[in-house]
Amino acid sequence: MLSRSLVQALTVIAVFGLVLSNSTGECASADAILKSVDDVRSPNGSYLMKIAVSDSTDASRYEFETSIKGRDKTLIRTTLPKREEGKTLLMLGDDMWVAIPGVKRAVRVSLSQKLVGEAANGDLARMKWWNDYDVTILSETEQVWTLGLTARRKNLTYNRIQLQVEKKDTRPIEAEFLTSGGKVLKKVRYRSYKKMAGRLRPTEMEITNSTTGEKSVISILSIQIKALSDSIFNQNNLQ
Amino acid sequence: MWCVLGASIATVAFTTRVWADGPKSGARVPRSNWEKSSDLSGEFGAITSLPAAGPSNSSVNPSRAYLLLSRDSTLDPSRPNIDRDRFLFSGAVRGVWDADSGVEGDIRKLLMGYSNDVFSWDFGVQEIAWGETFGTEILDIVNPRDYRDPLAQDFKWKRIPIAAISAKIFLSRNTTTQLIYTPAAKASRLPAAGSFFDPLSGDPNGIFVEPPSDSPWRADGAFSEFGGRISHLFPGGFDVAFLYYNHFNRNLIFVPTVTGTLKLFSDRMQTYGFSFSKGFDAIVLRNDFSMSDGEPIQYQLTESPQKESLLRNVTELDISIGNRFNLGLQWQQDVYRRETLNWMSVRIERDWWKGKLNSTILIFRGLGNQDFWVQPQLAVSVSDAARLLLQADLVRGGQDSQHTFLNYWESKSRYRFQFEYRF
Repeated sequence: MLSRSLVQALTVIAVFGLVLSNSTGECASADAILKSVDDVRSPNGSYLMKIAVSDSTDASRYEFETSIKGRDKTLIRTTLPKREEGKTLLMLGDDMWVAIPGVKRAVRVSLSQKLVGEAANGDLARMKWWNDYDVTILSETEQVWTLGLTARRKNLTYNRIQLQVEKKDTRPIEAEFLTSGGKVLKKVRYRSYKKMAGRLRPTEMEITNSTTGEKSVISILSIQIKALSDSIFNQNNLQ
Repeated sequence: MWCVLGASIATVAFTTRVWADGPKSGARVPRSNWEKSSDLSGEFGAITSLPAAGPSNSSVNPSRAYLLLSRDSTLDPSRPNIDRDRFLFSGAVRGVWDADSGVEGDIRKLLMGYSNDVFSWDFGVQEIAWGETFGTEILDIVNPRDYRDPLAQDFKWKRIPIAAISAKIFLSRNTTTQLIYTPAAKASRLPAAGSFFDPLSGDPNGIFVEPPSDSPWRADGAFSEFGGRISHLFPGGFDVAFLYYNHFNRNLIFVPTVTGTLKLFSDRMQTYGFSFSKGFDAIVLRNDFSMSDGEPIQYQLTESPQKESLLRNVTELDISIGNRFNLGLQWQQDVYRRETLNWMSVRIERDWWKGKLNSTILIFRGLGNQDFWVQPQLAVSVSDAARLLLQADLVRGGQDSQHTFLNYWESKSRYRFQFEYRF
């Protein structure tokens, strides 16, 4: 009697364990891929990044100095064009402030404001997807995974992302940013892989607006790993 | 006062000690390892105005040409044990040719500063802005006001820099305390007598207002201003601040002198304030509240000033619609002992041609008083560095109360043209 109960119990535990290990195994795998993609896109910790944004319908060249610390602190300072020099955008988690030279204080602004061209603030400010999105493997070929990302919370720049990743080295190839209803808003191509901050990273992101066809290109000019003080990411310290 | 001054000096002294001590590891960091950056920038521009209505016997709002030069330098000593600290040296000077006042120069900024993860301080000539809302900036009380162009929106024509010590202490990741000490208060600036915005130009007797003068420095701190602000960012993005400032009044109160002229009345008062802001996706809610204690008030120009406690509140809602459209709604209430005044304003802003053209219209209306101000504005970026601004200020004020916003600028409407070039 005891042995029969024991067998039944072991069977239940084994079946439950198999299901659990299968499900967590797939999730962990997709999660691990996304984390690895994040590591390819940008370094961890704190760093300085110089970025240029060009727009297909705008002759002006925009340049920014971006200071990033961890997952939720980003400071973007405009260096070009001259008429906007010094304009600084601070993102702390889901909150955003802008400091305009002359005003001498940070002004709370809404997250939906655009930085320049087709580039949303989040395209520059949020360099990590892992932990912000639930991820599944939608399909795979011999060389490529297609991941489906769904926002875990409101206030992220995009609700859904469909991401193609090279299996060989987890390089992002292309991403489609979608509404929660599945409508494609933008397509992004990751290209021009160059060695920066210790590894090969995409240095150009070509963003195409799916409705208008207008394009913007975000170019990463340099990345410098650097310890950054928390005080520069304080809205009370912005001027 | 002594607490604020003492805390500010203690912060500076501690920094000096940290700097003097150098790395605890013993080895000094070679100067070649210090990270330095320096940025020289400038702006020149010209502003001219045409009267649309107002006193016919006065010159128009002063035409101006200006040159602003600024240099910001930072020094990061890259010390191994005192990581992430930096020194700041900053200066800005402005030369202005003004049709009313002639040529003058002023120091807009002359600062030495230090910051690290725990605290920062700035010592020198500076501007300090508090509060969340725009327009009347009821919590922007640290710097005196420049009334020479009372309808200007650009802060470089609204605010007068002061010599002060400002110390910030980052109590936690989300809590910041700021202490400010100004050894000698500066006076607000008034428009030149007889000029378009002369507050008493409409007076048939042509009363002359003497230009206000700055307070002298005194060892006992009789003319000092001091106070502080503590702010906290709650989880969920609710940003709250409380402040206190002991200062001289910034409002326009005129009293007679023995020579028969008028002078700007100045007296010590205290302001307690509270502000908050919260973002909700495309909407931002801002609020400023102030309670002044001992603020000199004048219900009629002929009355002697009397001290009162006033309440002021400004609530603002900013709504972003689409990528380039912004709607701002604001309600302001001022509560005096004898009257309560209300205003509503609407601000609609839109970018065109990828932000090369910006159109804005501000409508400011008194509720139960006659204040009415419409300000349409077009800003055109003519190049990456140059911008042209066309603006009108159509004002219909009322002298139904001494405390309406447009009381002294009644019917002083103008068209304003501005060119600015940055380099």
